[in-house]
Amino acid sequence: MDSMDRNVVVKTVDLTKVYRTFWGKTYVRALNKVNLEIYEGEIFALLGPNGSGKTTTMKLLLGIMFPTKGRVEVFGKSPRSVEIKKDIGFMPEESYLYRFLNADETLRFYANLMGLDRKTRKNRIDEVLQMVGLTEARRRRTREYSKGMSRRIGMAQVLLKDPKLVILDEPTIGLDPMGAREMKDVILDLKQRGKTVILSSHLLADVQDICDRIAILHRGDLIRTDSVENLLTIEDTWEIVAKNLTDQTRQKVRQVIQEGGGDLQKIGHPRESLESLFLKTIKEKEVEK
Amino acid sequence: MKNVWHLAVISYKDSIRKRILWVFLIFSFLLIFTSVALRVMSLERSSVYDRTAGLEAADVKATEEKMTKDMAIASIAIFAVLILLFTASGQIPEEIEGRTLYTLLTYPVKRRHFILGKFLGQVLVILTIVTVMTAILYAALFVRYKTFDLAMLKGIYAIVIQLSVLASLCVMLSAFAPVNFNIIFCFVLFLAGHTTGYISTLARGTKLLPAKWGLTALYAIIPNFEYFNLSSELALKTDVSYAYLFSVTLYGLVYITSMLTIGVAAFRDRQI
Repeated sequence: MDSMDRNVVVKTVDLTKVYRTFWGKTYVRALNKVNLEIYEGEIFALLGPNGSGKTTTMKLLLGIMFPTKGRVEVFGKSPRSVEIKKDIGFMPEESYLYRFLNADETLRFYANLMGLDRKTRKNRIDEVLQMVGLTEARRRRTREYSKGMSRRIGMAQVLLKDPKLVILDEPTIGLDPMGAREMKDVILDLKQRGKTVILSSHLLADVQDICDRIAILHRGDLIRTDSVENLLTIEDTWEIVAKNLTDQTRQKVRQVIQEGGGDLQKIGHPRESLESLFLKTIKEKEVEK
Repeated sequence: MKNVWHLAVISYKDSIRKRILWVFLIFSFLLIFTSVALRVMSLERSSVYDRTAGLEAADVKATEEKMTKDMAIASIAIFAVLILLFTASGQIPEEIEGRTLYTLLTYPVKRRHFILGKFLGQVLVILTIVTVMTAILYAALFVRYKTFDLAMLKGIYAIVIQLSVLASLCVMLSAFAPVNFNIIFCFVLFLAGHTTGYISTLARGTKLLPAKWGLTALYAIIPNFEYFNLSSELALKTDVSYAYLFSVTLYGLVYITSMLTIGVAAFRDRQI
């Protein structure tokens, strides 16, 4: 679908954030006139090295930090507006939890803040705990949770809200390959359900795997924005994937390419990704047991 | 407004699990019981002395009971203040350091409700610790004197108001100040609040105008914590009128409202 036809969920106009010292002196320009439009139903990634402004952008989108110049709109409103908070889910880089609560109490607290009634609250909590695989550990204090479990409960509080916009800071960090795959599946499922997802990640393979569009930030400047496909497609190179080719057929293909003036770079077996191999091996082992 | 209550419950649960609260609570328990025991020794000594002075043993016992109550009520106030300083001062800085506030503020929670929730949570803490300490005091007095003086509850009520004022001050400061500064500042202010009478006297006696204005302003700003101290009146069985309790309540409410208003204003534009 063309971007013109889609609803803009997040819009930033000349978004600038300057951190100043107590005396008002600028010590870092975290964002510099960033213009972004993020559309309904897409998975959008913010990429960049440390200090590029990813987290600052997220904080501005969440309304917990305010722009120095420019503006940011979420669902056409200021992110400080309480009205839109019900529609925004956020999972920070580390799931910061109240350590004295267990998973059940944590989710109940957040459900209460959403104003869910008792029955809906109970059903929703059961459902999201099931989705993130924490049903068994629901009575354990979150301080006893591993990093992976903390990420899951962080995701559970996002799912509990059933928001239209989901903002995830490093969603797969600290997870084992299976946990990371499950997290990516959850994100893809959110997209399937029409949600908009904005994420930041250092794990570029994950971004490539699941994102529709990306923005690359560097020292507060937005240096590129486009679809993953456009950015990664090498325009002058073609790839043909075929099965069961004999030596003779491969030879013919090579010949046809050369006759057509093409420059054949490689004919060989494609390689499986390490992630896919790992997951397959573990699954096979589990089936054996 | 329901969110204020949910936030208050979380703030309460967070405070109640703090070890320092239990340490001070145990100390207060020991002190209240010890104060009763100390009076026992005092009675033995005093009875010999006072009988020679022509006093009846019953009068001596009554005097001792008054002193015990005075000391025990003062102990409740001091220990509750110490507990409160440690639980209330960290309310907002801990949410920021622990980054639980990041997630919290992505929920439909107004910042002013967050401040009110924190304050209400501390009021629940105050009610809990004061109830426990009062129960200990009544039990100790009953064991020693077989009395159950309900009039003491007026003094306890004034302590609750006093602590609520202090909690509002702590929560207000925690909206922008670090924990250590908050604890020290509130403690100093608590001590200063018991000496506002001297500040007022000084202001009246000073001829230098800037000093007079400064001292008068200080007298107006610092809460008069001595106003809430009814331990002597109650120990001496001087009746404390309900009108006085009402004025104490009103004074407390005005101060609490002012502190929370400043806290809300300071936190409204705070970037996290």
